[in-house]
Amino acid sequence: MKQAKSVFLSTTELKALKKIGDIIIPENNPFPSFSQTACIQHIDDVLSFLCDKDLADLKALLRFNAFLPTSIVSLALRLMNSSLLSIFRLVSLGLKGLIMTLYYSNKTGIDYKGKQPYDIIDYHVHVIPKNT
Amino acid sequence: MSFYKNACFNIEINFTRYGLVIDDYDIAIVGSGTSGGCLAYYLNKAGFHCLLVEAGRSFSANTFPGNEMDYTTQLFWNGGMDVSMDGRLIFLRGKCLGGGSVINQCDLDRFDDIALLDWKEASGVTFFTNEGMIRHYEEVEKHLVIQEIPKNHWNRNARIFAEGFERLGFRWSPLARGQSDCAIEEGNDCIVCLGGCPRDSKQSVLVTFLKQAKRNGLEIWPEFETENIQNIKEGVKIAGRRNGHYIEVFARNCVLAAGALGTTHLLLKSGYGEKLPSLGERFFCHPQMMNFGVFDEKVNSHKGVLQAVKSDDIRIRKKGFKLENVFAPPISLAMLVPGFGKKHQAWMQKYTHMACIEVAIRDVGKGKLTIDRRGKLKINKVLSKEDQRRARQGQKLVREIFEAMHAKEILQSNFMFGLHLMGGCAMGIDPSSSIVDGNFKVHGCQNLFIADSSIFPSAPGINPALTIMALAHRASKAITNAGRFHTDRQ
Repeated sequence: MKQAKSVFLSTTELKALKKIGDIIIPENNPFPSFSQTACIQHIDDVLSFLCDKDLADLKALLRFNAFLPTSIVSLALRLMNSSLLSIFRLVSLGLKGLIMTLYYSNKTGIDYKGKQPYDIIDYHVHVIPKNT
Repeated sequence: MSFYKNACFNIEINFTRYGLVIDDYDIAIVGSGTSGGCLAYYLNKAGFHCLLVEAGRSFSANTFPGNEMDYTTQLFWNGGMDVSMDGRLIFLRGKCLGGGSVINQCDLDRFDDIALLDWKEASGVTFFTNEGMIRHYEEVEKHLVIQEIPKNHWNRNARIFAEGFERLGFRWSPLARGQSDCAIEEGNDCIVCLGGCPRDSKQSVLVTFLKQAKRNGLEIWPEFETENIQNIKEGVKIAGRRNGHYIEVFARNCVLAAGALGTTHLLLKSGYGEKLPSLGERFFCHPQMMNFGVFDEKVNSHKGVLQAVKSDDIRIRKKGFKLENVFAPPISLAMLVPGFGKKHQAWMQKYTHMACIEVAIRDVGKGKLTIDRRGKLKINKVLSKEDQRRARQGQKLVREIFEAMHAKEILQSNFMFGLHLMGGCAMGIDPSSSIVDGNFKVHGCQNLFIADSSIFPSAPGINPALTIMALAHRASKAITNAGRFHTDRQ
C-alpha cells in the first residue's frame, strides 16, 4: 500500500495517527479499519485549515502517542472520551473529528480495493444540476 | 510610494512599503452572508459606492465541493471545529462568499410576538414589534422564493415526525423553506445542499441579493480576511490580507456583518473592548441536540427533502424549545454518535434505519466571547440550569414521539451543535449594557455600524435567517438616513 505523505505531519506523526485511527475505527466486518482504507492519504486536505498553534499541539500529541503501546493509547482515549475535564474532552473531540472526517469522507487510498464506507452504510445521494 | 487611479471606480490605490492602501469607498461591508449580502444590495441600490469583503472563497453551483469533508474544510470557519471552551458545543459558521446562507438549511420564519417583545424589553428599542418589523419582512420576502413542502414529497422521516406529533396531540406545521426548484420528483437529495446547492434552488444571498447587487456594479473581494478596523477622523480604516498581501482600505463608513462570532472577534481584536464594556457578552446559539429513533424498516432520512416540518404548538414554545425533522450526512452523524470503536460502528450501520428529530433550545444562559493573548477567539458558552431543564424536556418529548411510533431503539446524542450564532454586540439604548443603538451605530463610534445576528439582544427560539435579512434592510435605511452620511455625500 502506498505510504501516506504529508507536508504537515512527519512519518512518526502519521504512524501515531494511524494507530489512533485503528482504535477509533477498528476492522469490524463489514467495516474496514481506518488504516486499511488508507484515507490518511488525504490528511493534508483536513489539516490545511488548522492554525499554527492547533497544528503544533496536534503534532506534539501525536509524537507523544507514537511511543506509547496501543493498549495504553486505547485506554487513554476511553478515559478522555468520558472525562469531566474540558481539556481532555477537547483533545478527544479533536482526534475523533479528524479520524471520522477522513474515514466517512469515503475517500480512500489509490490502491484500496475493499468496501467503501458509503456502500456499507448505504449512503448514496445526488442532486442533478439545473442545466444538465 | 507609487500611485495610480482606477478610472472606472475613482479609487485611489497607493503602494506603500506596507502593502496596498485603497481609498474612497462610501461604505465598506465586512462579511457577505445572510446580513452582508442583503445589506450590500440595498446600500448599493441606494447609490453608494460600496465594497463588500469576505474572508472565504467564492463558490458557485458548479464549483461547490460536494464531498462532506471538502465542504466542511473549505466552506466553514476552522473546518467546522469552532468549539466552546468546555468542549461540549461545536459552532458552525460559513466562510465563503454568501456565508451562512450557503450552508444553512434556509428555513425562513418570521419572529412571533414572544420573541420581538422580549427583544423590546431587553433592549429598550421600540421597533421590535410586529408593526415595526412587518415592512422589513415584506420587503426582503419580495426577493425570495419561500415554499412549503407538499406531503407527497415528504420522506419517511417527516412522516414519522408528523404522525408522532398527532398521536401525542401536539401541533406541527410545514417549515417555510427558501427554495425555488429542488425537483424532488427527479430524485434529488437536499442533504447535498448542506455544502452549497448545485441547482441554485436554495435561496442563499448568492442567488438572490448578491446576484442583483453584482449586476448593479457592487465591488466584491472574496478571500480578504479583515484583521483590524479603526475609526479615524474621516471614516474607518479596514486592514486585512488578501492572498498573503497586506491591504488597508479606507471608507467613510463601515458596516460589520461577519456574524456573531466574526464581528465580535474583529471588534475585540481591534481593541474596542476598552470603550464598549459589554462587548462579547450575551452570546446565544440555540443549542441543538439530535435524537435518533431506529426502525425495523428503512427510513432513509438522508433521501429526498431533508427538512419539511416543525413543532408549532404554544405549549412547546412556552417550554423554551422547538423540534424539527432533520438528518445529518455521514461525518456529522459519526460525530453525533457517542464514543468510538465497534459500538459506534454498529450505530453507523443503522444509518438508513434512523429517523431523527432535533431539539433546539431557546437558551437563556448568557455566553461570553473573549480573546486570548494571541487574539484567538474563546467561546465561553455553557448551558444554564434553565437551559438544561429545557433540553431535558425537549428530549423527553422526542423520546415519547419515537416510542409512540414504535421505534426499536432510541439514541439521544450528548453532543450539541450551535448553528444559530447570536449576540455579543447586543442592540440597546444603554451604552453600558449594549454595543449598538437602535440605528445600528456602535455607541460612541462615528461611521461604524453593525447589522448581523451579533446585535440580537437574546435568543428568539426561532430560525433567525429571515429576521437577519429584515434587520439588514432596516439597517440600510438607518445608515442611508444618517445625517452625517448625507452631508459627506453632498
